[in-house]
Amino acid sequence: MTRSDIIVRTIARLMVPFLLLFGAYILLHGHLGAGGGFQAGIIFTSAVILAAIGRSRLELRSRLAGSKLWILGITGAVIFGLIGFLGIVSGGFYLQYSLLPLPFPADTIHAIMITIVEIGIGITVSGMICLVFLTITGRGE
Amino acid sequence: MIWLLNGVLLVFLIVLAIWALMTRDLLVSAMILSVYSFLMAIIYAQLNSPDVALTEAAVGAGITTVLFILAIQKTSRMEEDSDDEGIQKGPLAIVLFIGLILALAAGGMPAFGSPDAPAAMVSGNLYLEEAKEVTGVTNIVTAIIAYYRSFDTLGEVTVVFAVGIGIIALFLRGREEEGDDEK
Repeated sequence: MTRSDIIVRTIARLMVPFLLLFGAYILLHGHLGAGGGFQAGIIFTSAVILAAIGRSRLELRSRLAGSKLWILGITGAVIFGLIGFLGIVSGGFYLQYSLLPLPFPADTIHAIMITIVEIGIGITVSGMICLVFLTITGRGE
Repeated sequence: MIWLLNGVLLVFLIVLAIWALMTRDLLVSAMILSVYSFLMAIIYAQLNSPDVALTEAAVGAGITTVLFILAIQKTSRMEEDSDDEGIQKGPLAIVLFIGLILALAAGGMPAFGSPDAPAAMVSGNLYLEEAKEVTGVTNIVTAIIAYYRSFDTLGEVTVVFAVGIGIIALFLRGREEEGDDEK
Protein backbone atom coordinates (compact mmCIF):
# COMPACT_ATOMS: atom_id res chain seq x y z
CA MET A 1 0.00 0.00 0.00
CA THR A 2 1.61 3.25 -1.10
CA ARG A 3 1.28 6.50 0.76
CA SER A 4 -1.17 8.11 -1.69
CA ASP A 5 -3.31 5.01 -1.39
CA ILE A 6 -3.72 5.74 2.31
CA ILE A 7 -4.85 9.28 1.56
CA VAL A 8 -7.40 8.15 -1.03
CA ARG A 9 -8.79 5.46 1.23
CA THR A 10 -9.02 7.67 4.29
CA ILE A 11 -10.77 10.47 2.43
CA ALA A 12 -13.14 8.03 0.72
CA ARG A 13 -13.96 6.46 4.05
CA LEU A 14 -14.53 9.87 5.64
CA MET A 15 -16.90 10.91 2.86
CA VAL A 16 -19.28 7.96 3.22
CA PRO A 17 -21.39 9.05 6.24
CA PHE A 18 -21.71 12.59 4.90
CA LEU A 19 -22.84 11.30 1.52
CA LEU A 20 -25.41 9.04 3.18
CA LEU A 21 -26.69 11.98 5.22
CA PHE A 22 -26.83 14.18 2.12
CA GLY A 23 -28.70 11.46 0.26
CA ALA A 24 -31.28 11.21 3.04
CA TYR A 25 -31.63 14.99 3.02
CA ILE A 26 -32.15 15.05 -0.74
CA LEU A 27 -34.69 12.21 -0.46
CA LEU A 28 -36.80 13.64 2.36
CA HIS A 29 -36.41 17.28 1.33
CA GLY A 30 -37.31 16.67 -2.31
CA HIS A 31 -40.77 18.19 -1.93
CA LEU A 32 -39.38 21.48 -0.58
CA GLY A 33 -36.18 22.05 -2.53
CA ALA A 34 -34.13 20.58 -5.30
CA GLY A 35 -33.89 16.82 -5.40
CA GLY A 36 -36.01 13.72 -5.24
CA GLY A 37 -35.88 9.97 -5.38
CA PHE A 38 -33.68 9.57 -8.44
CA GLN A 39 -30.98 11.95 -7.26
CA ALA A 40 -31.02 10.49 -3.74
CA GLY A 41 -30.65 6.97 -5.09
CA ILE A 42 -27.66 8.02 -7.16
CA ILE A 43 -26.05 9.73 -4.16
CA PHE A 44 -26.57 6.64 -1.99
CA THR A 45 -24.90 4.64 -4.74
CA SER A 46 -21.91 6.98 -4.85
CA ALA A 47 -21.54 6.47 -1.10
CA VAL A 48 -21.38 2.72 -1.69
CA ILE A 49 -18.83 3.22 -4.48
CA LEU A 50 -16.66 5.38 -2.22
CA ALA A 51 -16.95 2.75 0.49
CA ALA A 52 -15.76 0.17 -2.02
CA ILE A 53 -12.80 2.44 -2.88
CA GLY A 54 -12.05 2.90 0.83
CA ARG A 55 -12.52 -0.80 1.56
CA SER A 56 -14.40 0.05 4.69
CA ARG A 57 -16.73 -2.16 6.67
CA LEU A 58 -19.75 -0.99 4.71
CA GLU A 59 -18.24 -2.37 1.53
CA LEU A 60 -17.95 -5.79 3.12
CA ARG A 61 -21.58 -5.65 4.10
CA SER A 62 -22.62 -4.58 0.61
CA ARG A 63 -20.53 -7.44 -0.79
CA LEU A 64 -22.51 -9.82 1.37
CA ALA A 65 -25.78 -8.20 0.33
CA GLY A 66 -24.86 -8.19 -3.38
CA SER A 67 -27.08 -11.09 -4.27
CA LYS A 68 -30.04 -9.66 -2.38
CA LEU A 69 -30.00 -6.16 -3.86
CA TRP A 70 -32.64 -6.99 -6.48
CA ILE A 71 -35.08 -7.33 -3.55
CA LEU A 72 -34.54 -3.60 -2.94
CA GLY A 73 -35.38 -2.90 -6.59
CA ILE A 74 -38.62 -4.86 -6.32
CA THR A 75 -39.48 -3.26 -2.96
CA GLY A 76 -39.34 0.29 -4.34
CA ALA A 77 -41.39 -0.52 -7.43
CA VAL A 78 -43.96 -2.42 -5.33
CA ILE A 79 -44.25 0.50 -2.88
CA PHE A 80 -45.03 2.79 -5.83
CA GLY A 81 -47.53 0.34 -7.31
CA LEU A 82 -49.32 -0.35 -4.03
CA ILE A 83 -49.62 3.36 -3.31
CA GLY A 84 -51.33 3.57 -6.70
CA PHE A 85 -53.76 0.80 -5.76
CA LEU A 86 -54.63 2.61 -2.52
CA GLY A 87 -56.31 5.17 -4.77
CA ILE A 88 -58.57 2.48 -6.25
CA VAL A 89 -59.34 0.98 -2.82
CA SER A 90 -60.41 4.39 -1.53
CA GLY A 91 -62.85 4.75 -4.40
CA GLY A 92 -60.90 6.86 -6.87
CA PHE A 93 -58.61 6.20 -9.80
CA TYR A 94 -55.20 4.52 -9.88
CA LEU A 95 -52.63 6.85 -8.26
CA GLN A 96 -55.33 9.26 -7.06
CA TYR A 97 -54.43 10.25 -3.52
CA SER A 98 -57.09 12.79 -2.62
CA LEU A 99 -59.75 10.29 -1.40
CA LEU A 100 -57.54 8.46 1.10
CA PRO A 101 -59.24 8.32 4.55
CA LEU A 102 -56.51 10.14 6.50
CA PRO A 103 -57.24 12.84 9.08
CA PHE A 104 -55.37 15.57 7.18
CA PRO A 105 -56.31 18.20 4.62
CA ALA A 106 -56.02 17.11 1.00
CA ASP A 107 -52.76 18.87 0.24
CA THR A 108 -51.07 17.28 3.27
CA ILE A 109 -52.20 13.82 2.12
CA HIS A 110 -50.74 14.59 -1.28
CA ALA A 111 -47.44 15.68 0.24
CA ILE A 112 -47.23 12.53 2.41
CA MET A 113 -48.00 10.23 -0.51
CA ILE A 114 -45.53 12.06 -2.76
CA THR A 115 -42.81 11.60 -0.14
CA ILE A 116 -43.59 7.88 0.20
CA VAL A 117 -43.48 7.49 -3.57
CA GLU A 118 -40.15 9.34 -3.69
CA ILE A 119 -38.76 6.98 -1.05
CA GLY A 120 -39.86 4.05 -3.22
CA ILE A 121 -38.10 5.58 -6.23
CA GLY A 122 -34.96 6.15 -4.16
CA ILE A 123 -34.93 2.52 -2.92
CA THR A 124 -35.30 1.14 -6.43
CA VAL A 125 -32.70 3.40 -8.05
CA SER A 126 -30.06 2.97 -5.34
CA GLY A 127 -30.59 -0.79 -5.18
CA MET A 128 -30.36 -1.34 -8.90
CA ILE A 129 -27.43 1.00 -9.60
CA CYS A 130 -25.52 -0.51 -6.65
CA LEU A 131 -26.27 -3.92 -8.08
CA VAL A 132 -24.97 -2.87 -11.51
CA PHE A 133 -21.78 -1.51 -9.92
CA LEU A 134 -21.22 -4.58 -7.75
CA THR A 135 -21.96 -6.95 -10.63
CA ILE A 136 -19.53 -5.22 -13.00
CA THR A 137 -16.76 -5.13 -10.42
CA GLY A 138 -17.36 -8.82 -9.74
CA ARG A 139 -18.29 -8.23 -6.13
CA GLY A 140 -21.90 -9.36 -6.48
CA GLU A 141 -23.14 -12.79 -7.38
CA MET B 1 -22.86 39.62 -18.91
CA ILE B 2 -24.63 36.27 -18.45
CA TRP B 3 -24.42 35.61 -22.20
CA LEU B 4 -20.62 35.80 -21.90
CA LEU B 5 -20.58 33.05 -19.24
CA ASN B 6 -22.96 30.93 -21.30
CA GLY B 7 -20.97 31.48 -24.47
CA VAL B 8 -17.66 30.51 -22.85
CA LEU B 9 -19.26 27.40 -21.32
CA LEU B 10 -20.81 26.35 -24.64
CA VAL B 11 -17.51 26.83 -26.51
CA PHE B 12 -15.78 24.76 -23.82
CA LEU B 13 -18.41 22.03 -24.29
CA ILE B 14 -17.73 21.83 -28.03
CA VAL B 15 -13.95 21.78 -27.49
CA LEU B 16 -14.22 19.07 -24.84
CA ALA B 17 -16.53 16.94 -27.00
CA ILE B 18 -14.11 17.07 -29.95
CA TRP B 19 -11.16 16.38 -27.64
CA ALA B 20 -12.92 13.35 -26.14
CA LEU B 21 -13.52 12.01 -29.65
CA MET B 22 -9.98 12.57 -30.90
CA THR B 23 -7.93 11.25 -27.98
CA ARG B 24 -6.65 7.68 -28.16
CA ASP B 25 -6.47 7.18 -24.37
CA LEU B 26 -9.94 6.06 -23.32
CA LEU B 27 -9.28 6.94 -19.66
CA VAL B 28 -8.58 10.54 -20.70
CA SER B 29 -11.77 10.40 -22.77
CA ALA B 30 -13.84 9.31 -19.77
CA MET B 31 -12.35 12.10 -17.64
CA ILE B 32 -13.10 14.69 -20.32
CA LEU B 33 -16.70 13.50 -20.47
CA SER B 34 -16.89 13.90 -16.69
CA VAL B 35 -15.73 17.52 -16.98
CA TYR B 36 -18.24 17.97 -19.81
CA SER B 37 -21.06 16.85 -17.49
CA PHE B 38 -19.91 19.26 -14.79
CA LEU B 39 -20.01 22.16 -17.25
CA MET B 40 -23.50 21.05 -18.30
CA ALA B 41 -24.51 21.03 -14.63
CA ILE B 42 -23.23 24.60 -14.26
CA ILE B 43 -25.26 25.64 -17.30
CA TYR B 44 -28.40 23.98 -15.89
CA ALA B 45 -27.88 25.61 -12.50
CA GLN B 46 -27.43 28.97 -14.19
CA LEU B 47 -30.72 28.36 -16.05
CA ASN B 48 -32.48 28.06 -12.64
CA SER B 49 -33.10 24.33 -12.82
CA PRO B 50 -31.31 22.89 -9.78
CA ASP B 51 -33.05 19.51 -10.06
CA VAL B 52 -31.60 18.86 -13.50
CA ALA B 53 -28.22 20.24 -12.43
CA LEU B 54 -28.12 17.90 -9.43
CA THR B 55 -29.02 14.92 -11.61
CA GLU B 56 -26.46 15.84 -14.25
CA ALA B 57 -23.69 16.26 -11.67
CA ALA B 58 -24.54 13.02 -9.85
CA VAL B 59 -25.30 10.80 -12.84
CA GLY B 60 -23.26 12.31 -15.66
CA ALA B 61 -20.13 13.30 -13.79
CA GLY B 62 -20.28 10.67 -11.05
CA ILE B 63 -21.84 7.31 -11.79
CA THR B 64 -21.33 7.30 -15.57
CA THR B 65 -17.61 8.07 -15.17
CA VAL B 66 -17.24 5.26 -12.65
CA LEU B 67 -18.97 2.83 -15.01
CA PHE B 68 -16.77 4.02 -17.93
CA ILE B 69 -13.62 3.50 -15.86
CA LEU B 70 -14.80 0.04 -14.81
CA ALA B 71 -15.46 -0.84 -18.46
CA ILE B 72 -11.97 0.43 -19.45
CA GLN B 73 -10.47 -1.63 -16.64
CA LYS B 74 -12.27 -4.72 -17.93
CA THR B 75 -11.22 -4.18 -21.58
CA SER B 76 -8.21 -2.11 -22.67
CA ARG B 77 -7.10 1.44 -22.05
CA MET B 78 -5.71 2.51 -25.42
CA GLU B 79 -7.77 2.65 -28.57
CA GLU B 80 -6.39 0.38 -31.30
CA ASP B 81 -5.47 1.59 -34.77
CA SER B 82 -8.45 1.14 -37.04
CA ASP B 83 -8.35 0.19 -40.71
CA ASP B 84 -10.90 2.67 -42.10
CA GLU B 85 -9.79 4.98 -44.88
CA GLY B 86 -10.61 8.41 -43.49
CA ILE B 87 -13.99 10.07 -43.95
CA GLN B 88 -16.59 8.09 -45.89
CA LYS B 89 -18.73 10.10 -48.25
CA GLY B 90 -22.10 8.33 -47.95
CA PRO B 91 -22.49 8.63 -44.14
CA LEU B 92 -21.10 12.18 -44.26
CA ALA B 93 -23.78 13.17 -46.79
CA ILE B 94 -26.53 11.63 -44.63
CA VAL B 95 -25.24 13.38 -41.50
CA LEU B 96 -25.02 16.74 -43.26
CA PHE B 97 -28.54 16.31 -44.70
CA ILE B 98 -30.07 15.49 -41.31
CA GLY B 99 -28.11 18.34 -39.73
CA LEU B 100 -29.51 20.73 -42.34
CA ILE B 101 -33.07 19.57 -41.57
CA LEU B 102 -32.47 20.04 -37.84
CA ALA B 103 -31.01 23.51 -38.39
CA LEU B 104 -34.07 24.48 -40.46
CA ALA B 105 -36.40 23.09 -37.79
CA ALA B 106 -34.54 24.98 -35.04
CA GLY B 107 -35.43 28.20 -36.86
CA GLY B 108 -39.11 27.52 -36.10
CA MET B 109 -38.61 27.19 -32.36
CA PRO B 110 -39.53 30.05 -30.02
CA ALA B 111 -36.71 32.35 -28.91
CA PHE B 112 -34.64 31.32 -25.87
CA GLY B 113 -36.51 32.23 -22.68
CA SER B 114 -39.38 33.75 -24.65
CA PRO B 115 -42.54 34.42 -22.61
CA ASP B 116 -44.63 33.64 -25.72
CA ALA B 117 -43.37 30.07 -25.99
CA PRO B 118 -46.13 27.42 -25.85
CA ALA B 119 -44.53 25.80 -22.78
CA ALA B 120 -44.78 29.07 -20.86
CA MET B 121 -48.20 30.04 -22.26
CA VAL B 122 -50.30 26.87 -21.96
CA SER B 123 -49.15 24.05 -19.70
CA GLY B 124 -46.44 25.56 -17.50
CA ASN B 125 -48.54 28.29 -15.91
CA LEU B 126 -51.23 25.84 -14.82
CA TYR B 127 -48.73 23.85 -12.77
CA LEU B 128 -47.10 26.97 -11.36
CA GLU B 129 -50.45 28.36 -10.23
CA GLU B 130 -52.18 25.35 -8.74
CA ALA B 131 -49.43 22.88 -7.78
CA LYS B 132 -48.80 24.45 -4.38
CA GLU B 133 -52.48 24.40 -3.33
CA VAL B 134 -53.35 21.00 -4.79
CA THR B 135 -50.33 18.95 -3.75
CA GLY B 136 -48.93 20.85 -0.77
CA VAL B 137 -45.48 20.58 -2.33
CA THR B 138 -43.40 23.69 -2.97
CA ASN B 139 -41.02 22.07 -5.45
CA ILE B 140 -43.02 22.11 -8.69
CA VAL B 141 -40.67 19.60 -10.31
CA THR B 142 -41.41 17.03 -7.60
CA ALA B 143 -45.13 17.78 -7.86
CA ILE B 144 -45.06 17.10 -11.61
CA ILE B 145 -42.87 13.98 -11.31
CA ALA B 146 -44.70 12.34 -8.41
CA TYR B 147 -48.26 13.63 -8.85
CA TYR B 148 -49.23 14.97 -12.26
CA ARG B 149 -47.01 12.54 -14.17
CA SER B 150 -46.89 9.64 -11.72
CA PHE B 151 -47.70 7.03 -14.37
CA ASP B 152 -44.62 8.21 -16.24
CA THR B 153 -42.51 7.90 -13.11
CA LEU B 154 -43.88 4.44 -12.33
CA GLY B 155 -42.79 3.44 -15.83
CA GLU B 156 -39.34 4.93 -15.26
CA VAL B 157 -38.92 3.00 -12.01
CA THR B 158 -39.90 -0.18 -13.81
CA VAL B 159 -37.37 0.60 -16.56
CA VAL B 160 -34.58 1.09 -13.98
CA PHE B 161 -35.52 -2.22 -12.40
CA ALA B 162 -35.58 -3.97 -15.79
CA VAL B 163 -32.15 -2.54 -16.66
CA GLY B 164 -30.70 -3.90 -13.42
CA ILE B 165 -32.22 -7.34 -13.98
CA GLY B 166 -30.96 -7.34 -17.59
CA ILE B 167 -27.40 -6.53 -16.55
CA ILE B 168 -27.41 -9.24 -13.90
CA ALA B 169 -28.65 -11.75 -16.48
CA LEU B 170 -25.95 -10.64 -18.95
CA PHE B 171 -23.04 -10.78 -16.51
CA LEU B 172 -24.02 -13.89 -14.59
CA ARG B 173 -24.60 -15.75 -17.87
CA GLY B 174 -21.12 -14.79 -19.08
CA ARG B 175 -19.67 -15.93 -15.77
CA GLU B 176 -21.45 -19.27 -15.97
CA GLU B 177 -20.14 -19.87 -19.49
CA GLU B 178 -16.61 -19.07 -18.33
CA GLY B 179 -17.06 -21.58 -15.54
CA ASP B 180 -18.09 -24.22 -18.10
CA ASP B 181 -14.97 -23.55 -20.14
CA GLU B 182 -12.79 -24.07 -17.11
CA LYS B 183 -14.30 -27.49 -16.52
